[in-house]
Amino acid sequence: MKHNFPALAVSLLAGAFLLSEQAANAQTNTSPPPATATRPAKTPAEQNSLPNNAPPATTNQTTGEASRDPTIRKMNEDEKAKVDNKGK
Amino acid sequence: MNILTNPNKLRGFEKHIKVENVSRRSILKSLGLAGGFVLAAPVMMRPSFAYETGAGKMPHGVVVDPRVFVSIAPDGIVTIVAHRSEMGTGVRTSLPLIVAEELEADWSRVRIQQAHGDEVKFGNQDTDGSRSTRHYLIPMRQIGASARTMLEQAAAKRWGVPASEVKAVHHEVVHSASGRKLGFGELAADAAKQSVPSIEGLKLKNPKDFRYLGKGEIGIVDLHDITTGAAHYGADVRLPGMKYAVIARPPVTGGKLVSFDGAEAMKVSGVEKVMEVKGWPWPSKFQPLGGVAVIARNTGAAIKGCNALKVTWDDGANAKYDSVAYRAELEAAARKPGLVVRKEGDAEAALKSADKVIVGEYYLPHFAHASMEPPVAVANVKGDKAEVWAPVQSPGGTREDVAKTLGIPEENVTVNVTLLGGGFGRKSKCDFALEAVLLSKELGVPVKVQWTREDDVRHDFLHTVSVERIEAGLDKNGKVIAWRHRSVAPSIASTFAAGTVHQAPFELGMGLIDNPFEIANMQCENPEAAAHTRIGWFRSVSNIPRAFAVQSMVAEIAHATNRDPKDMLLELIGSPRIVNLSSVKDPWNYGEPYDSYPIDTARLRKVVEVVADKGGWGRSVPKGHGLGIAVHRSFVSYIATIVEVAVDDKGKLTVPRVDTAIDCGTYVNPERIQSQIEGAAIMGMSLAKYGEITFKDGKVQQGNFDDYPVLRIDESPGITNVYIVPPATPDTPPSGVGEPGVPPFAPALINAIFAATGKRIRAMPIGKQLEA
Repeated sequence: MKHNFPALAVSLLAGAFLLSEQAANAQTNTSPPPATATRPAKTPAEQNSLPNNAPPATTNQTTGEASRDPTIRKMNEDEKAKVDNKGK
Repeated sequence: MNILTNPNKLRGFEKHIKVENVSRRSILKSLGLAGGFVLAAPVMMRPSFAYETGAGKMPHGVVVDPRVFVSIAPDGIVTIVAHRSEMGTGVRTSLPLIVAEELEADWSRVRIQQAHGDEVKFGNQDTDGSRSTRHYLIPMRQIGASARTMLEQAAAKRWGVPASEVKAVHHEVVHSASGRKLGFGELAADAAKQSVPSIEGLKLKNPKDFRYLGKGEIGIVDLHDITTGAAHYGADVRLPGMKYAVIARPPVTGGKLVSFDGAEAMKVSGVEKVMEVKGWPWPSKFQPLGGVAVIARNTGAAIKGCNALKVTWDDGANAKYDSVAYRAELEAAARKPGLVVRKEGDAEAALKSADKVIVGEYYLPHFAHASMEPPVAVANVKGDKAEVWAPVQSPGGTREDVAKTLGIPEENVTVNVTLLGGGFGRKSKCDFALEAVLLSKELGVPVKVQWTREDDVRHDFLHTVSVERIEAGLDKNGKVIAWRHRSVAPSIASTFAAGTVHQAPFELGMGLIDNPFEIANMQCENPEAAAHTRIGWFRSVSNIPRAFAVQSMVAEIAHATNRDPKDMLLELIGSPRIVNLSSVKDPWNYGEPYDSYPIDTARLRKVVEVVADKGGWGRSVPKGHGLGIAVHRSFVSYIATIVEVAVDDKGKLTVPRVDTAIDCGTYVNPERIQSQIEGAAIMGMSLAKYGEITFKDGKVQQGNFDDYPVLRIDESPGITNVYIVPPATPDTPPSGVGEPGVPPFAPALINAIFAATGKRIRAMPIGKQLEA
């Protein structure tokens, strides 16, 4: 069997060259990728909040509100009783 | 001592056992066509325990009925129902394995069926609190023994011999005197006609005859599917005509939607509808936050559409929540007296008269669960019936909440449990399933709600943020005579109780009021801490900050008094005894009776001594290396850990070796214990090194693994050796395994860093603190 060594060498060299070029491109592209379907924008630009005059968050002022919905009130009470009993 | 040194030997996945979901159809098929060993109408039976546990107090308690959990087909295949959720702990293997052991079933001829959510039928299904083996070792043994007895009775009847002369052995019933044998499949139909034996009269196997339990040679039933990509998680569920939804939620807890414009979202190819999702004011248990849903033909389109939404929010009362400012508030609160929750002696006076007072203040930020699989659920609501497919830790609780949210009877709700790609407590909260049922009801088609990683990190029920302040008073001989521990942290109870400022008893019982140290003057306090975001259960819960503080403080005292940290630890634990908690008003003990699960300092000392011995405490280590030790009792188990660190001159931290000793009482599957401890070491290191969720203007500042990293494989501990302390007797109650490995890791790591560098880290995460 006759081996064609020169052709193989060319092929390997070409492959090595291509790999180097790709690596160089990857290293020079330092800008962050744009938002994609699987990579949402870090802060969606089109979402904003109304001006707010809430007080600073402290350790002694609670900010939740007692639910007026009787179903939710009952669910909250049941959960509280449940964790008091079983813990989790 | 059971020392596991060759995990590869235990990790074969040659056992390919198919796991199926239980459905009414499959049970009827088994009964009607196969003539198997199963009845449609279960009977709840009270279990008889060799020791008391808190299982009976759990919602819907325990069901011990072989007809609910076991069926046997004519071909001999035994099907065992797994009623807990599989999230990586191996519980879907361990509990059925217990049944198989007592049944004398050949494990290779066992199939597993995943139960749907039905706690009336199966008993409590909450897969949390490191409770599954603890609560179900004896009931599962009783179920297996009942089924075995019924097979033996059937064989005896067929042969016309006394039942005492026959015995089930490895999937057959044998009559030794005559040499006759019948396979389980041949006896199944007759066995189903036998009455279920009374629990009190059951004869359980002698543990010395166990074929599977405690051996560690059984791979988990899901291993093959998980490792080949064949396993089905929540996101793999697809129904005909199903729509895909991604939701923009209020960025601040307690905020609400003001207005939205979906015009740009509707331009995205594949988007079909933009609609408001109902939300509930906070606190509202696990109800959805509300927001704007983008409905599409696929998940990718829904995400793109969600990004294109224009939304205006009212951020509400938590709009100024800021992590930096709140930490200062917590620290200020910790420096003032708080609600006294344990008091023995007079710590105040003893601190004043002490020769030396050492003060440590330790900060732990919020953590996000960040399980690899973000929340996802599929729902199909038709009229007054709802069916859900979701990776939930609490299928029974999900069923209950779906019924209440839709205003339909519980029996009209079916919750199918998929594999969980990690849970860590996040998936005990079913808000994502409730979103799916609300959308499905509105749209009249099946809907999959897929959370993105950003959704998961920004709208989690976070691990609480805390400051732990400990003051230790020493006499002139260096003996600790006073201990005051103030723990300040928003409570999980704030998620369902407005106005909550103190921790609940179950939180106080995780490393604060249950402190085992033998110190004459002990005081524990809980100053106020209002929550400003959703707080939830996170693997190991309050034990993480408490173990970090207490075990760091022990090492600080050792350093201040020029003592060996391990000797200091043993001195503080004190004499072997049962800790008396009579001074505590509500001494919560993980829901377990104290008689069965007392704080036993002999067991605590033992794990310290074992890990010190096996882990080579005091051995010489290279320059830049250090050893740290910590011990903690949680989920009624005892665990001690030694961490070896290496810190280079640039502050790069690596962990070449971890040694952990665990006493979890009677155990089922040592291979799973090992893997849970290995996982705990990785998670513990991940949290210590990187874990931090911060808030600014009420909003979570992190969103994905670039700014909320988890440990990579090249950073993981090099070797994790696990030493399982054997139970004192076969009747030693089993205790938790899934969570207890995490709490001692961080303090052992921090103490090792101190030994290596002289730097004492009192605030997590470590981050760049070693680079300074």
